[in-house]
This record gives sequence, structure tokens and C-alpha cells, in this order.
Amino acid sequence: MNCLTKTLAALFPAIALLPLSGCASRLDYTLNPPVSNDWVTVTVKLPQETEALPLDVLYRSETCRKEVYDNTSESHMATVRGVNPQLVSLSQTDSSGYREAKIALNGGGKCGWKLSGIRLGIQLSKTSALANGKNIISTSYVFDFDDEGYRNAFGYGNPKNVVGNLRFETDFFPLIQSHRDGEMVITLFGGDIRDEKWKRYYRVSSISKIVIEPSIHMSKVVRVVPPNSLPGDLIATYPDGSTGILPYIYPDYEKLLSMK
Amino acid sequence: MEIVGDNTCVTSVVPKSKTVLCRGKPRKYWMELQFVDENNVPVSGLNVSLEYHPLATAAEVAASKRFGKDGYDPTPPPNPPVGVTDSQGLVRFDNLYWIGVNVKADGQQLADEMEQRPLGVRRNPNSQPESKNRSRPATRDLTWQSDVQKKADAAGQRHHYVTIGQLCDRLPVIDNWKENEPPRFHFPSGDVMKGTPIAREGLDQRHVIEVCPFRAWSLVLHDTKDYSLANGYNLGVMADMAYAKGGDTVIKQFFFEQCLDLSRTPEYIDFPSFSQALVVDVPFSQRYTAAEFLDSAGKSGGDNDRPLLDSTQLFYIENAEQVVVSWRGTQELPDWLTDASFSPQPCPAELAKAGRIHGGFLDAYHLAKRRFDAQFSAIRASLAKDGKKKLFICGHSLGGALGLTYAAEMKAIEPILYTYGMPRTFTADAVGRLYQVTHYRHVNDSDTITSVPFDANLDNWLYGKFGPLGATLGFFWALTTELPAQMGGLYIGEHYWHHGKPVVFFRTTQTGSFEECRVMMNPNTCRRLKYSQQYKVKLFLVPSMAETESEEAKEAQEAFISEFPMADIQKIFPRNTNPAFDHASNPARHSMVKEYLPFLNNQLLEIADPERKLGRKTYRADFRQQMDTFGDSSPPEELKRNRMFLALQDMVGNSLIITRKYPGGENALIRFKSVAEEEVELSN
Repeated sequence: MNCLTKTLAALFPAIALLPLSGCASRLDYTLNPPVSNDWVTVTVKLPQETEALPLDVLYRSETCRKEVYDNTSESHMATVRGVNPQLVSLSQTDSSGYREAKIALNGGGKCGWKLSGIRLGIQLSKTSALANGKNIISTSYVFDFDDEGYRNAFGYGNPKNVVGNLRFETDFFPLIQSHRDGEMVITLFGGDIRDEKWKRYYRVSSISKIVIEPSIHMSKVVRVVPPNSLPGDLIATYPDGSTGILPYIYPDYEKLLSMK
Repeated sequence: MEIVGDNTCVTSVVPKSKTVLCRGKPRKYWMELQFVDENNVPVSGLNVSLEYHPLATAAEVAASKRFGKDGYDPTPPPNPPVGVTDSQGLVRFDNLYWIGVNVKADGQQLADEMEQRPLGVRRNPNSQPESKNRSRPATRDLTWQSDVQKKADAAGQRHHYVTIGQLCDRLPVIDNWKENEPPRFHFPSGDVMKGTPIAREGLDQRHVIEVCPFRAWSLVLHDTKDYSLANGYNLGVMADMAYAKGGDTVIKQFFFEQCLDLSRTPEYIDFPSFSQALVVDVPFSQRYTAAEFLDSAGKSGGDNDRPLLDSTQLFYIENAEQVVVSWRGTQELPDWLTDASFSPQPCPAELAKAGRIHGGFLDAYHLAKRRFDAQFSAIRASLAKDGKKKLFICGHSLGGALGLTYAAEMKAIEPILYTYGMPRTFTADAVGRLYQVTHYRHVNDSDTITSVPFDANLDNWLYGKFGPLGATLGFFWALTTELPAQMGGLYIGEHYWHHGKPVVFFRTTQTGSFEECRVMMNPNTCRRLKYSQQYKVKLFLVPSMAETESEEAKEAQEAFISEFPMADIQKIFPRNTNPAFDHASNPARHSMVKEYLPFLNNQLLEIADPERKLGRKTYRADFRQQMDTFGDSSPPEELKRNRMFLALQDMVGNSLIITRKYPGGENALIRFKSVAEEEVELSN
């Protein structure tokens, strides 16, 4: 008996370490872009009281595949391309107010990582007076470099196909949305993204430069309040004081544009 | 019309043209058009116009130019005036030339009217649009005839089956339609409004034009606190769909293509399960307008967070009456590890004001909430808007736990939650605070996952036994060494409790016994031996149906209660935990696609189609027979329990009363039974 206890005690560290080693071999997530590479440069210029989040950059690999649970065989038989999400910081602001990041199309490394998607999130900065006491939700520009990209994450609907470089001067308005439990959410509103016209989700090709220089109309705030009792309507109050019932859950962007 | 002069011609070596004069007017023709919907109800007050076909095609004109001097002018005579259909849906055109026509109707008027017409029961397989998917070509059946067509044929009238796009003279306004092309099923030729052609041979006749209503499919989901088998089945299909490897593409194909294609009802194939969705038709403006799959893999965390490599997945859909949020269960290895991190965390206030929640589930939930903050905020705004939309939540396995967590956060709007094989998630104190959530928890017999974490304070126990590592290794130890046996009487502290009312798929056995004596007729050498009798049967048990409040089910319920007192029911189905099963815990019972879905499918099929011969009915008859024959040798408690089970099984049909009363519900069941098949209930 004593002997058994000792054996178990001796084995215990080994048993304890088992889960750390894992069963599947770990993927090699390091990027090592080749020197002669194609790059895409993302340049951002934002006004005061707003900030850009670090870029979400997603690489995928054909060689380093990820095992996924197969519902039918109830095993990890099926594989999909491995994913390697990265956060890339934008450079410090230069003299003319621009920040930028260079992203390699070919991530290299042992796995041969290929750029699949880039997302830039912009939002009101936490220190801005408007955002005080509210939950900040970022607004996205999403660029897919293959047919998968950020389709299942940041993208909404189907992306717009574009060839060549892109430049954006989107008009944004601070949107303060109250929820029925009193929570307030603040976001930058640039139109109903379900609408082809205002969608900021692209499937890009032959691209080397993305410039994002939006005009953010900080003083033109639109507020949306829910009904006090159900059933009722969502009501928007526009910067000029006029109000309107929302057809869906978004204010009238064209109306806002007429007030900028 | 009279022809003057000699109209005969003799071919000669040098042909010469010859002029023939016509005198009088050409004969005129008539045509009657009757517009009806699929139920042969006339479409009245519709503005109908005819357009003559050009007299020749461009190629013919060009060919004639090569021979003649000027060719000839293909411009047809001016179109006849617009007609309006009468109370019979009939419009008559007289004085027509012997030229083919295109029939068109006022696009906006037609769309508005046809939105309000319900579909006929039978679907026309020949109306499906050309398939974009080469591996699944369109299947047509040219012998198929609609009821309207049979009637028209019998009356010697010509029949046309058309969608509104084949009649519209202009594209109607479609609310919230964001695509460049109009919907494919209703507008098969895109935004080209060609009308329905009728060749000149069709003149001097009546044509019946059967117009497919401008509708879309919507899942049958009832806003009820009682158990609904329709909800159980459809949300089960949704919970399974959350596993789709294609993610976004699968969800969008189902809700934006199949739900807009009225040539058949939508189906979701996840081999070996072929799930035919139970759907009703709704006006096109109430169709699904959102269907988004969200996968946190590949998304980095919040602003100053490091990217995480594990993930949580879910999808949500939205139409005029419902928002469905379906959570994916355990898929990748990191997900399973979250099951191993047992440590119960204090509930965040937005979930419940007291009690604890499984730490791993909370992490996975927060991951999704943080990454998809914009989408969750949009769902909340949408639910607050006019308050008409009901929130349905579903999930299998870990997806059920995440679904319950989400339901806890949304409890103020009383969501309806259906889970399948979910593990325990909250401790007792928290469960008591989630009474606003209508939750039916499906348990497939001895599915192992539904009994973890154990309903004792396992964490403390493991910690005491193995130190800090105990909590980490706990799950695997528990599975392999059958901890519960060692833990008898250890129910102290905060327990994990199950939430919601159980729906149990119970594989029931009947125990027999016999006396074996070594020496014949000498009772001292005898012993009683127990064995499981031959026929086992899997029963669909909804204990809460014994306490339903629906009027229709009252009678059955009272009869049931008078035979089986509430106390007995509660003894067998204790609150907040699982009943004792006849079979040992078995992870194979956990499969959504091989166990839960086929059983739901078969139960629905049995009630929708009482006439149909099904294997499950035979098994049940055998089991009843066995109970009658060998009941004497079974323990009396078990016999009583099994009688109660069979009575409960007989009551499941009542859970479809609400569906039959729902507009279009009866038709939904008829369509379901015409396409669904009995599936294998027990995978191994």
C-alpha cells in the first residue's frame, strides 16, 4: 500500500504536466515576411477625441491546418486553414497627423501565413466628454484579402468587390443609443451597413494603400431612445432637434448628412 | 378579309414579284385571362396590360433586308388598352390581332396584393430557380400539376403558373431589400420585366394565370411558456446548424436562399440527419432580414487585449416576429478545456444577483460578448423596437450553457430557451433568480454531459483531495474514475443546479425476475434473479405537460394527474437535476445529429402523420405487450413508473395543439410529413 502511494506520488508531477504538453502539436505562429514582399499600407488620420484601435490582422495558412470538431463523425477529423490573428499597432502620429501600419501580404514563417483580413476599428476616445459614462462600441472598416477573410467576424453581409487602392472620407456622427435597462452605448455612425451604399466591408485585390481620413462631426450628436413601455418605437433625436421614428434600428443617415 | 386578284404563283427561272391587294379588315381575336392565387381565389381589381410581340426578330429583319430593298418594319400595332380584373379575377380583351402577346400587371399593386395571400399546401417543384450549385442541380418534375391546373385542364382552359416577377410591369418596392438583384425565386429573370408570353395560337381562349403569392418561409416558433414540439424541433435544427463548418455561407444559404424559395420547404442536411424545417409562409416583407454567423476565432480581443486563440461561435437570425440566437457547443480542443476549469465564479450582476457560474462557461460567454459588442447591442435595440419580436435562444452541449448564460442576461424580456444536452452551469442560488426564462432542457437518456459538473460542491472537494491541481484535472478524473460514487453524502455548500424544465428521452427497460432453485421444490436452495426484459423503448417525456395551462390539453392532463399524483411525478423527475436513468452514463448519447435530432424528428413525424407506420410505434406496442404479459414479475414501483411514462408519451401530441391553431400551422405539418422520413433513433 505504502509502495503504491509512493509510486503515485512520484508519478504525480508527470500526470500534472500532461495537459500542458497538449495532444496536438502547436502551430508556429511567428511571422517572417520575405524581403521582396508585397505590402499594404494603412494610413489613418483622425480628429481629436477619437482614436483608432490597433489593426486586427488575420493570417491563414494552408499548410498549418487546424483540426475542427466534425459533428458527424464526432471527432476532430476535419481540418480547416489555420488562423493566426494579430494585433498591429499604428505608428506614432507624424507631423501632419497621420498614423500608419505596413502589413505584409505574405506572412511567411514555417506555416506560410497569407494575409486574409484587416480590420480597422475607430471609436470615441475614453477621455472624451461625450463618452463619459457610456459603453464605447467601435466602428469598423473591414478588408478581406481572400474569400473567407473576416466574413464570420467583423464583416456584415457580403463584401463589396474592389480592385486597386482605397481612400475613405466617410462622414461619421456620434450616436448615443440608450437601452431599456438604462445602459448607454456610444458609437460612430456612418450609415446602415446593411445598405450597399454605406457598407464598409470590402473584398480587395491589387491593393497597396488604404487611406482612411474620415470627417467626424463631433458636435452633431444623434440620440436613440427605446420606448418606455412595449410595444413602442425607437425614437431618434437629430442634431437640429427634430425627431423621427426609426424604420429599423438606425437613424436616417441621409438626414444627418444634410445637417453636417 | 378578302384577297383581290390571283394569289397563286408559279416558280420560274426569273422570278418576279407580284402585288396582291387585300380588302376589308383582318379577323380579330379575343382572349380571357383569369388571375387566381394558389388556392384558386381570384385576384380582383388588378390592372392588366398586353404588349404585342414584335412582328419579326431582329435577325429576321436583317435577313429580309439582304433580299428586299427596305426589309420590313417589325413594329407591332399599338397595344390594346389596359383591362381590370373583375370579382372573378377575369379580364377580357377583344379585337386582338393575330400576334403573340406578353401579359403584364401593375407591379406594385400585384406585389402588395400577393403578399397577403397564403400559399397553397402543395409546392410546385418546377418553379425553383436555376441552381447556382452544380453539385445540387434543380430537380424538376414535369408531370406535377397544381390543383388549379387540374381544374383548368378539366375546363379546357390554358394554365400558367407564374411568380410575380413574371407579371410585373415594373419592380415593386421591397422593404429592406439590400441586394442589387431582386429576389431570385419571385423574379426569375432579374430586373428585366418581360411579362408572361402567350403565343398567338393561344388567342380565342381563356387562360388561367395562377400567381404564386409573394411570400417567404419563416420557422414555426411559438411564443408560449408551455412545451412546444415545434419549437423543440426547429430550435434543435438551429442548435445543430451552429456547428456548420461553412459558418456564414451555410446560414445565409438557408435563410436568404432556401427561405425565399417557395418551390419547396427549406432543409438542412447534416448527415446522417436530414432535417426538414417546419415552416409557415409569411408576407415577403416579414422574411428573414438578418442571418449572421459570428466566430471569435481570428478576432483579437478588446483594445488592449492580446489576441486569443480559442473561440466561441454563434449565429443569429431575425425576421418580423423572431430573433433566434443559436450557440455552438464544444468544437475545438480549447473549448473542451473550458469544461475542465471547474472553478465557480461569482455571477456578474447582469446575469444574476446571487450565486455562482461555471468559470469556463463565463469566460467563453464573455469572449463572445466582448468581441461582438456591436452585434449584441443591435440585437437589443431590435428587440426593444416595437416589442413585437420574441427572442428565442438555443444551443447544444456547451452551446446550451452559453445560451442559458445569455438568457440570464436577457431575462427582463422573458426569452424562450431550448437546450439540448447541456451541462450544469449555475449554482442553486443563481438558478432561483432566473425564473423569467422559459427553458426546456432536453436530456437524451444517459447523456454524460448533462450530468457534469456534478451537483455537489465538487470544486472544494477536489481541492481538498488533490490540492490546486485538483480543480484543473477534475473533469478528466471525474469521467474516468466515477467520482460520484466516491462522493456519496457530500452534498454541501453551493451546488450546481440545472435550470429549466426537463424534456427527457428516456430509454426505458422493464425488469423481470425469476426464481432459480438448485434443488427442485426446496425453497431453501432458491434465489431470485433479475434481468432486463427483451423490449426496451425510448420514450419522449415532458413531465411539465402534467401541469400545462392550455385549455385543450386540460382533459388529458386531469386524467393523468388523477392516475399519477404530482408527488409521484416529482419523485421521478426531481427539480433541478436529472432523473435516475436505466442505463449507465454514456457520452455517445450526447450527439446532436445522431441522437437528439432524429428523436425529435421522429416524434414530430409521428404526431404530424398519425396514419404512418413507424418503427417506433411497433417498439412501443411490443413494450406495452411485454408489460401486460410479464408485469407480475417486475418490481411494482417500476411498473407504475413505466405506466406513467407511457401515459406521458401519449400526451406529447398535445404539444402540437398550438401549432395546429397557428395561422398556416396545419399546412406546415402537412408539408413536413410529405418530405420527412423516420430516422434511426439509437446511434449504437
